[in-house]
Amino acid sequence: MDSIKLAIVGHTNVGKTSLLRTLLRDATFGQVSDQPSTTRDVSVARVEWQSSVVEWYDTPGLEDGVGLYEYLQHLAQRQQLRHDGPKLLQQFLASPEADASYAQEAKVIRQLLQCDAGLYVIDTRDPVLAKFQDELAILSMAARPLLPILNFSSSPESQQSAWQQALANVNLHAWVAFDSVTPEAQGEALIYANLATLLPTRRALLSAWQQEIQQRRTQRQHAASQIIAELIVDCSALRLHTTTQDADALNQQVNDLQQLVRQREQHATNSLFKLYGFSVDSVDINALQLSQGRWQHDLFNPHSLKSFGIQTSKVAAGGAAVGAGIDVMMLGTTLGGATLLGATLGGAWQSWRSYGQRVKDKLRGYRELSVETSVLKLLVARCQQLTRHLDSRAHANQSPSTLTVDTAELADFEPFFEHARGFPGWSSIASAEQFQRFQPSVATTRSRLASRQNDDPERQHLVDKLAQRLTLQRIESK
Amino acid sequence: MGQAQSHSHFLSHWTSAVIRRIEATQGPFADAEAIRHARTASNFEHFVQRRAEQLAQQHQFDQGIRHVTMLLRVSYIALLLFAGLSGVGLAISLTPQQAGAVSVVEAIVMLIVVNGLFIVLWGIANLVGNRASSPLGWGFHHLLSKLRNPVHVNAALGLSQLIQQQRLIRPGLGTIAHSMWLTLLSAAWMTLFVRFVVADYQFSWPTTLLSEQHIQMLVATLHTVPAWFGLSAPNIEQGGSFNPQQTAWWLLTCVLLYAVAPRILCWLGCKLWLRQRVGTLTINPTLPGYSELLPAFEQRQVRVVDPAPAELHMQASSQRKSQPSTQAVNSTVALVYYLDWPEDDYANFRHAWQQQPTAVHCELVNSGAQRQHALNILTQGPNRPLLVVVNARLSPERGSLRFIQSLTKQGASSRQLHIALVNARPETGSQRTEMWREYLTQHVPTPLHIESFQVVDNNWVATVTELNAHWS
Repeated sequence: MDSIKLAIVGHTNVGKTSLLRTLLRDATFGQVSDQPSTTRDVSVARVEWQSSVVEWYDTPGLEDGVGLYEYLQHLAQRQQLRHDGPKLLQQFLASPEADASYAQEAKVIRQLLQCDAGLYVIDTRDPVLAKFQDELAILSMAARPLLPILNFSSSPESQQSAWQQALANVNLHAWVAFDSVTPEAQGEALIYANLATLLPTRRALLSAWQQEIQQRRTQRQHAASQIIAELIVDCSALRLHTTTQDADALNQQVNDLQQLVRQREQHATNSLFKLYGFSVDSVDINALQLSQGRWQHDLFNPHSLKSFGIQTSKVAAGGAAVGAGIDVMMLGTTLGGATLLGATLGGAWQSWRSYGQRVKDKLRGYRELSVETSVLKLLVARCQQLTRHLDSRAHANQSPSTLTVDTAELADFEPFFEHARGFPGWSSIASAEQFQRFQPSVATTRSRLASRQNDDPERQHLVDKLAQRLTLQRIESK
Repeated sequence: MGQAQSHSHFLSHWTSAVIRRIEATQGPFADAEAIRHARTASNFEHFVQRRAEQLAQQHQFDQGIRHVTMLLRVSYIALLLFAGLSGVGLAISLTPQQAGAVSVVEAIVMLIVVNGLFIVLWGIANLVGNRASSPLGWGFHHLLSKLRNPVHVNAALGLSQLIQQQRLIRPGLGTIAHSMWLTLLSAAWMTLFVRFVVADYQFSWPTTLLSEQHIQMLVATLHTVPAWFGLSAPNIEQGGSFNPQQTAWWLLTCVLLYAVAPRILCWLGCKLWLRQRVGTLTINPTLPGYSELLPAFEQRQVRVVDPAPAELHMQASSQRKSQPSTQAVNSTVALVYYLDWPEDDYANFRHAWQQQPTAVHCELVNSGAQRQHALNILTQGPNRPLLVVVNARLSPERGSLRFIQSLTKQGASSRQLHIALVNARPETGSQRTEMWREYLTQHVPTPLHIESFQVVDNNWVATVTELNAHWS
């Protein structure tokens, strides 16, 4: 099995584990905090694909480069090893200080000596000090290719040029500016490209690994689009029937509908977090008003719609809350438009069969509760933004970030909403029990219909098309 | 040399042996601080010992030595107890429970002859043998092999090596062996005495093989020394009337004179031999692990004895820039150390200090050489205030902490050590100031005066004025 071992090394509290989290797309790897010495053990992350392996070693921070460099000089003098760096480091590892004063540094050096190359992480906000130069001098004794990673390079405090000069002074001319919190799109590719230059014997492996990363990313994007498309179809198709005339009872039923939609959205949100390797409870995105993995602005709150620039289409009848449409008119605009469009876009027979059922219900005096288009747009907008954010967001990011919202393209999704609206059975949201509350007589039938129609090829076709559109929109917006 | 002095002398050598053994086999320790402490030593031996004591303290080998000492003491006490019980057992086996006849010849053989034989064997082994291989030596090594903690193992191996190299094994093991025998015989004598006091024993002389003439000859020989004390020899002739009380006293006196007394003499001899050896313990500078320290010992004698009288205000240090100089520092002005600051910021600080009424000596402390220089300055001159201006924008780490700890060890605590946590970019990284405060409070045992400051709008003068006001 072809393999490569890479060690992440550097001063304490410069973001080594954060970088690894971002590269691995795993927000749970290691421990990240603002405190120094957060990582005290050497941890390995092993990524296998086909017949190749990439092993990442996260090491503790170097904390006393000055002292260790002096000690190594002393050791070199005593052992007469001035020009044999690796041997000197081996001597150090066998020395009593490797288990005492410099035990943490010994872990780093031991691991670097066992790896093919090291990524030396630099917090470019720090000035170039003697202690960092001593660290570089120590690490270069390992005779392993060292690729400096200029972290926090996008910070206004970054002293990147000073660091570049300092690196050049010790003959480290290849470096990558990679902000582990807000990484650039090509930053990761640059790391592997530089590593391939430093490790010519591993070039093929690194190239294959890059392709694998790209492939995994594309797959994740498609999977995210499928999750969103399923959510939209479920919510668009959701129609609950009621015969009640009492305003309070109607309001209660509207609230129940809203709750079902909220739950479905949270389920989809959690699925997206999981897909992108984020721990659900730990994601805070201020720009999206997402805290601990939950949306802070309610889906049916007018403020949420307004914050995304979405206009509500109409005020719900009967004093119902925003976002829940109550179709009280026989063949009203909601029903008529939806059905006609659905028939146009999808299979005519199924559309008209559903239409017939709904006409029958109308004639029997049922009223329908459904999710308004504005809310469906908001769902698309929020999920698309979240996906974009998760796709580009560093796994180490623990601070809020800002995202822009483009709502103009949301209108493109309306035909999909309308199509799905024509098929209440396509929605998997309402369970048999929930139907029972609204419509005891048809509950079982509806439930059966729902489960049967969720496997409907027509539905799957719509989900696939919607997913494609969602992916395309994300790519175009980039 | 008194007992306590001898013990401390031995401990110093033991500590040196532990450190030497580790350095000779695994490589040197980081000893800059230890050497600084050892600088006051008048000769190489003291230099090595002080350095070793510092390193042992730093790496907890002193605790290892204490642990091994305690272990050996407990083992020794256990051995003495065992010997005492054996003595009691031996005496009981010689005196029947029911009033009966005590075989005098058996008592003489078991208490005097066997003991005498072992003394002779020990003497021959010391005169002839090249190596002291005794059950006690084996037991000592077996005991050490049971240690698991590396610190304890190193302490034990250091002791083993020291007693071998300094030829302490024979007097040491001799002292232990004789003290054990002495305990055994004393316990046996005491038991015999008590039993003779409380019970009525008869004594029998005949044995299966020895004739009466042989026994008479034995008694006559043994009676030589008791006769000096006016004791009458027991009558052992067939049918002769002899007094059991007189025989008991004669037997007790023989045991005292031919068994206990020689053991006391041997024990005292070994004890004196051991003390003499310990008193003449020396550091062999040619041994690996010691020989490498000679250059450091010779270097330590280079120091400034007459500091330059020049005004060591800012101008002096500004000429020096960030490189540590070898020139001495005025021993009266207050010291301000700038820990891990970029040169530009340090220049701003220096400039701001020039506008203060207080004269201070500033030093930038970034590199190892600068740290060393800063610590050297502390050794010069009397106590004076020391302010360490920490760059609190950086993350706290062990290296900086060690430097601050070195300052306190160098006597800076008595110099009113103040720590100023200064953040030159208060818009970010303010949480690190708090981290520093926690870190220092947790890891520096000496109580420190810690204050936080910020350089607002690049107003270095205002910061230094505020800093100076707090410090004053």
